[in-house]
Amino acid sequence: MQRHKFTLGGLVIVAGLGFLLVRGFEQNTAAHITLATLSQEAATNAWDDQRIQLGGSTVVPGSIKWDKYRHRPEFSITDGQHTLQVRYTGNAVLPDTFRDESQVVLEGHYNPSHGLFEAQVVFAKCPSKYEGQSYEGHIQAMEAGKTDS
Amino acid sequence: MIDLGYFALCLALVTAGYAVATAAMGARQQNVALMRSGENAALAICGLLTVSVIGLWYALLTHDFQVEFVAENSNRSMPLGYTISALWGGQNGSLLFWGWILSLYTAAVVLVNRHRYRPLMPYVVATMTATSFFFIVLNLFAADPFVRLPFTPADGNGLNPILQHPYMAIHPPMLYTGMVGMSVPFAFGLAALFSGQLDRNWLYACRRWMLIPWTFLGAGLLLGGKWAYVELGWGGYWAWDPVENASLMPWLAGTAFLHSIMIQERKGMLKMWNMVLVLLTYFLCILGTFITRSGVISSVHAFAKSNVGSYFAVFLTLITLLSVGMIWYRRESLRAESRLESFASRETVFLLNNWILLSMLFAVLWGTLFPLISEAFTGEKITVGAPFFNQVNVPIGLVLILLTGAGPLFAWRRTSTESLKKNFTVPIAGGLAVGGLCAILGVRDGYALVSLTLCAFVVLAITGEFHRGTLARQHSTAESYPVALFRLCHKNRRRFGGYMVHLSLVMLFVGFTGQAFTTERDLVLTPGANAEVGDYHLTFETLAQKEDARRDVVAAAVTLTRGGAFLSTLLPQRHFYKNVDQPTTEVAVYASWREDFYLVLVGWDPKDSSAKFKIYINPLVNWVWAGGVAFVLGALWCMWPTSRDRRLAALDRRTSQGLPAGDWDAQKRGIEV
Repeated sequence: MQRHKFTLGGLVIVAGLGFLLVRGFEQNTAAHITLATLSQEAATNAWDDQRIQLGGSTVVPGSIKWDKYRHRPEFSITDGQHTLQVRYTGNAVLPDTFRDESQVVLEGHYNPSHGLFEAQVVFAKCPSKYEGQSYEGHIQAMEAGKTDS
Repeated sequence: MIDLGYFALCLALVTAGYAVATAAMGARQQNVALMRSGENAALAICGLLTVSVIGLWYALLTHDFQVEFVAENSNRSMPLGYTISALWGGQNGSLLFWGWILSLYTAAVVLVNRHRYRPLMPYVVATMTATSFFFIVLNLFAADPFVRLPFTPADGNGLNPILQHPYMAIHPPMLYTGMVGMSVPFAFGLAALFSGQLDRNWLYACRRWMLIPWTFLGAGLLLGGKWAYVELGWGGYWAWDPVENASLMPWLAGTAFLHSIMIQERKGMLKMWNMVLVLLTYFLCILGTFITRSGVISSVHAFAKSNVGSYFAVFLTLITLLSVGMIWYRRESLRAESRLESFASRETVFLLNNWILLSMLFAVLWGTLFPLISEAFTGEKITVGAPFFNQVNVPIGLVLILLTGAGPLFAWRRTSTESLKKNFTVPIAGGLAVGGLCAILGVRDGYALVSLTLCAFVVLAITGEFHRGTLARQHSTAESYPVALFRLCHKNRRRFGGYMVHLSLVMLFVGFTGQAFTTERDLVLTPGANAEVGDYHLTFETLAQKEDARRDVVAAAVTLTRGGAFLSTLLPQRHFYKNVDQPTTEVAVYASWREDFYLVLVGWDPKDSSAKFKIYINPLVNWVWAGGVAFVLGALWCMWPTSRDRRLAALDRRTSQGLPAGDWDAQKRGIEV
């Protein structure tokens, strides 16, 4: 009898957790794809009206056009091969780390009629400030210089 | 100095290898000389890594920019404090720092426990120095902070300005001290499995050593939240980012452990479960570090992708195999000694609490790892947004807070229906009264009503415990109420410290509940213009600019009043750091116990000096920070050494002076019973 009560309690918890997980999943997921995938498959309308998390790209230097009060910019992103125009439609103030060459992860929708990505959320990391490759170019240049001389 | 630091690191590697070998061999052969040697080597690692860390600090403070780490993470214009904290501002330095804290813990364990847990200690030392070995390898071969550039830059990059913040200076060390410290209970768990000494000794050791990092981890989590709140400008403090989740998960597992060990201590049950929890806690710490450092899951936390990740993957696999293997090997010794006697008992509530905490942990883990899981099974990477975590964890959290209050009202073993009625009547009535009052005052959010009702219930239930205990004490001692209350809490630090932590949890939940009522407004104002937001009246006075050596500052002066009464002049700002092409947003907050008025300067038009503001009114946020302070105080109350601890320590000292161990064991039992 005692045992049954505990089993029952366990089942209730597992069922409750399962219910919460399933319900939570219905609304709050987004497909994580790269800019390459989106660029290749945009023509097939596969991603229209889907919530997408777009990763693996950086902000094209000089492409950031702020609105009057520096709140919602339009900008381009690139992965080196493809580029895409982005319009920020979210409400929050963009992270301070958002600037030229930042690595960005965007969440939002692809708008096929304008060929641009409407981002509701922008995550940004600075390219080289935390940890990075900023001196690598310099080192390569020096080493190239050495072999020349 | 930098060469000395590197040299010390190399020596530390050799010493760590020696320590693992001697401690393990000493344990196998029961050779005391080898065990001692292993312990001394563990102390030596601590000394060597201290030299190493000082070496790197010296390089930072002397602006030795030829060292790549120094050039990457500091510059000449950074204030002294942030130059010091730059040590953990970048990956390589933070890993060295991590290893150093680990060695400090190891030294502390050796110095504090080497007489007390004699049969366990060599295994503990072996496990901890093996972990040190791993981190030193990492530092030497994958994340060397002492690497020099082939040239010396004139100035360094500097620490990212958003990290130059007091909370960010102390948040990582707190978190690391928490995460790293979990290796101590892990080591005691493994030592118990290896030595087969699965009596209660390892559990006592684990509890003490779990409480310390658990407190640091909890404090670190909240400090990170505070930093995000005041620095990132999005009006919140917790975003369910994978890295935040990664540090929350071990805290949840540790919390479950701290509760379930009480059942083992009293009833000899849940031995297997407790062992799993203590090993899981450490596993989650390393998993979290792996997630943070490897870049397998995209996160706003910006440690660059590096091959450090693969090292952690190997380490993670090793500790998993070792843990699972050893638990399987000792499965017979981990059987329960007794069974639960009644469903209506405190044991049941503790069991429920464990299931609920683990459910929460599972939900967070599932959401965090789902991109990887979905990619493995369907080929499509699906990410899970913050609303998922809120939707799942709010109901689970409400059950948890209910148990926080209900637990103390149940007696151990079995509770009679009469005593349940007696204990529950006042808290339930009080909770419902508060809930009803909130409803009348206009709270319409279902979860918020339930939460506030439960919070009131828990406060009444717990203060009832304090009250009844004090009255009982007064009855037998004739002390005055305050004296009796203090002595009650002092004599039962563990129990009443635990209740204090529970009360702090209530404060946190009150704060979390406020999130249901956050309001957000965008405003464009010209200088001199007024606006009404909620019952606040604000006047945009002027836009000002100033410049100092490091940065340009643009600030808006906004006067805040309510009902005609002056509240504050707020100065939301943007800083533009000269050597970095990046502004930082400095929000201005008018905080009260009721709510925060949170003001962000979004941007301005230089032509007419008009400015755009973002305003968040965040009810009850202060309760979160106050709850954090209360959490630390309650945890300290639990940890504070008792007279029993002091007597044990005195015995330890006598043993070290040559009293026979058998004599000591008998005396110790006398104290512990």
